[in-house]
Amino acid sequence: MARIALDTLGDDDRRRIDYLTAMRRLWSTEVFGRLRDEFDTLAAREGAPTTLEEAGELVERCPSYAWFGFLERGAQVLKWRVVNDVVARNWETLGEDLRPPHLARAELDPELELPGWYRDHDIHCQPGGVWGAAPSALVYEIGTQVLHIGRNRGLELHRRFTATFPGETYRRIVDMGSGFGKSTRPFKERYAEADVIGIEFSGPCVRLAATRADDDGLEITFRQGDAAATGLPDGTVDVVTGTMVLHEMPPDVLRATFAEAARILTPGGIVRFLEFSRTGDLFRDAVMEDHAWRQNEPFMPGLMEFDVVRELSAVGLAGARWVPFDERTGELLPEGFPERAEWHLPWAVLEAHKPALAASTTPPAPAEGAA
Amino acid sequence: MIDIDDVVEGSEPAFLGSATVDQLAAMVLTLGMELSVLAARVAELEGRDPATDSQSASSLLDRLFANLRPSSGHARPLVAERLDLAVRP
Repeated sequence: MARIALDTLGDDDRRRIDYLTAMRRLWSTEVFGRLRDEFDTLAAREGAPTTLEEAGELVERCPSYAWFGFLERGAQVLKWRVVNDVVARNWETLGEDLRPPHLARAELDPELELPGWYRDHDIHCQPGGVWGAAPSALVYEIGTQVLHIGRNRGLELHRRFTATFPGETYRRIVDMGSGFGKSTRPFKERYAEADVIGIEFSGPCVRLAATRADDDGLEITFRQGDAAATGLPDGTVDVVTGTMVLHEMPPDVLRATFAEAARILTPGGIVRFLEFSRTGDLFRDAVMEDHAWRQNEPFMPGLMEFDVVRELSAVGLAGARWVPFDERTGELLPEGFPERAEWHLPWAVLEAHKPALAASTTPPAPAEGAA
Repeated sequence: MIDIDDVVEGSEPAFLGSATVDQLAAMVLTLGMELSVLAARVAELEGRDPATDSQSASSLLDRLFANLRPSSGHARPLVAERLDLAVRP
């Protein structure tokens, strides 16, 4: 059972976290439901929007939208204040979690220069980002448990994503933007023989990731570095993956990351990122567009607009496509996004493969659940 | 430790008409959080289960949300009137 900092909190701090989680749940169900009703009423009266821009204009006219936006942003800001305070007050105990690992490896690069696009805004509204002070990784770890409501305790969501991978064995797996290792550990759990490597800009996250992997008895290498320049040899990786990392990147970095993935992949190797994509439901997509700004995710709309099929083809990867993913069950849904009443992120898997032979575009075995 | 005041640049966006209203609403929600902690302590002292107590975080938030919602201070729900929304129970 993976341990997280949340498990070590006292009763009062746990209740504060519970309150924030309850707030987010109410926002995502009752407030979002009311907003949807208002949108549908306006659309029925004035005509349904046909473009994302029209949908955005209609959403902004819904009376509950200001309230919805305030609660999303306000809950996020309050969350970080609370979690930052919790970590500060419990640092003596929680800081022990950053002890040097024995089994896993934390390869830090003190000379690494973080790029401006990564450093110059507080992603997810977390003050100071995840890369500054030593406690920032612990703050991030606790914060993610509040951010994602639903069945996402510990590694649950990431294990469900890992379970969709088609291979029985892999030799080397690279997790780009591995954070504190939440997305990386399930790969080592499922593919125990594989050489699993996490690449991450944030030094504090690399240290915490290695410690958490150690806690679970997982021999994983976490390397502080740039996903777009991993330093790994050509053609030596079977799987390039990443979870919620592409939407943090501006377009030129996305292109460089795709090129790096193509370079390090072995022929027949696969790329599979768990991300977010447009759903085709203009209401949801319009709300998601603004969600990016409310959450300090400046590059998220860019990913939504990015022609990933063309860009992945341009670097020599084939079969690129988005496949909707049900984060509650782990099902891939190639037929499309299901209708759901509550606010939730539009999870989708971006997949592609490196052709086994230069002249072949034969794809590897289809992913479980894929058409 | 992170000093939030050192990293904040610019002001928070305003959603509810003005930054002041947003700040007041945020203070109410923060107060609600501390009240939920206090209520849980009291429930424990009185031998009740805080998780199922009527003062739990969810029920407290239900009341806060109902009272903070922009339309809730009006005698007639202007939002519903304008949009022909069905009245919610």
